[in-house]
Amino acid sequence: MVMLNFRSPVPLIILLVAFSAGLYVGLKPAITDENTRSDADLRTAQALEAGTLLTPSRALQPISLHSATDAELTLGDLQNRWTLVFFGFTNCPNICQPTMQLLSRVQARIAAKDESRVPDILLVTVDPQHDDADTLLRYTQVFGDQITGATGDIDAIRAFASDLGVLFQRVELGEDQYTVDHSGTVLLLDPDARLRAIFSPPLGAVGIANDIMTLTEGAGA
Amino acid sequence: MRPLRTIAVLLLTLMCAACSETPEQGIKVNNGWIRLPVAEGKMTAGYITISNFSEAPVSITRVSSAAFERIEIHTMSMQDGMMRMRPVDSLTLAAGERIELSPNGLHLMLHGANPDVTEGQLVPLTLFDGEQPLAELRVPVAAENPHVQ
Repeated sequence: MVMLNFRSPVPLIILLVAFSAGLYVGLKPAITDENTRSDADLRTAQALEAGTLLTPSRALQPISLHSATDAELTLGDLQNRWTLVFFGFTNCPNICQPTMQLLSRVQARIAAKDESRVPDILLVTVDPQHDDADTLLRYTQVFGDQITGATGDIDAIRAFASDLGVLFQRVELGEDQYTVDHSGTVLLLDPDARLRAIFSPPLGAVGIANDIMTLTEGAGA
Repeated sequence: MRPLRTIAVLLLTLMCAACSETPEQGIKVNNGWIRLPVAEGKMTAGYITISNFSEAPVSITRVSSAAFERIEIHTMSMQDGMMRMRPVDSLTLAAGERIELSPNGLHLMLHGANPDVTEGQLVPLTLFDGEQPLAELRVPVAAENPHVQ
């Protein structure tokens, strides 16, 4: 057995349980209500390799964030294309960086088959205090040119995350150090900026790419 | 009874094969690599596999590198639907234990990369128990795990 000695008492995460319980109650009916599924939806849901399909897709609450180019970012800006949304932060080399690389591989796999079906990637920072628009822009550029970074008011970010069933919590580690615990799920929004599918870790580029090909089949994304 | 006997003979052969190897002392570290840093804070993660060949537990309390200001050992775990990273003070391997550091569990968190930390470079790492060096190695800087496949 590996034995670990923690440096400091693990900080308390307040309200988290209540918060997450509330969220999942909100999400659950959309995922599991079989009665609302059409036959086509059911077939599509079964055809997905990696993702969980929402049937019907779910409308999102309005958002008010800033893109990495410092333009206002609303749901309207996420329409007319498919978007993979991930919540992370730039000082997160162990999880966020490989996730960004993986999503960029998803784009490359789809581009190799059909350029018109490549989804955008939206990275929403869970560390807006550090990740301003410039920092995000320089970071996202490393992973490709069809990747948008978004930052904004912490409450606006939290509202968007909550709407998508994503949790995050800043945790102080002492000596001016902190980290941000966060969900590792990737969300797929359809061209109406509605939540269409959820990908939970462990994530795989092949499965996500194949699922997006399935979902965009004949749709002319 | 015959199949059982065959298995027993096979097991004994395997055990003897293990016995006959020259016993190694201390720890062995391999499959190391450091993720190419892209964040402006020059923070990145590193991965190694540590094997304890000694007959006693071995503790790693510190990792250092000339190429980084500071290195911490972190754990990654899933809790309440979130991924959480926490520093640990030390990492103890039981006799004969092998630990693979990876993005999904224990990993190194490296702070303040110097400008030499670029893709393809070999970076020195030293593992310590207190002030006693346990292993020295050089690991490549790469965008993706170079030891896969």
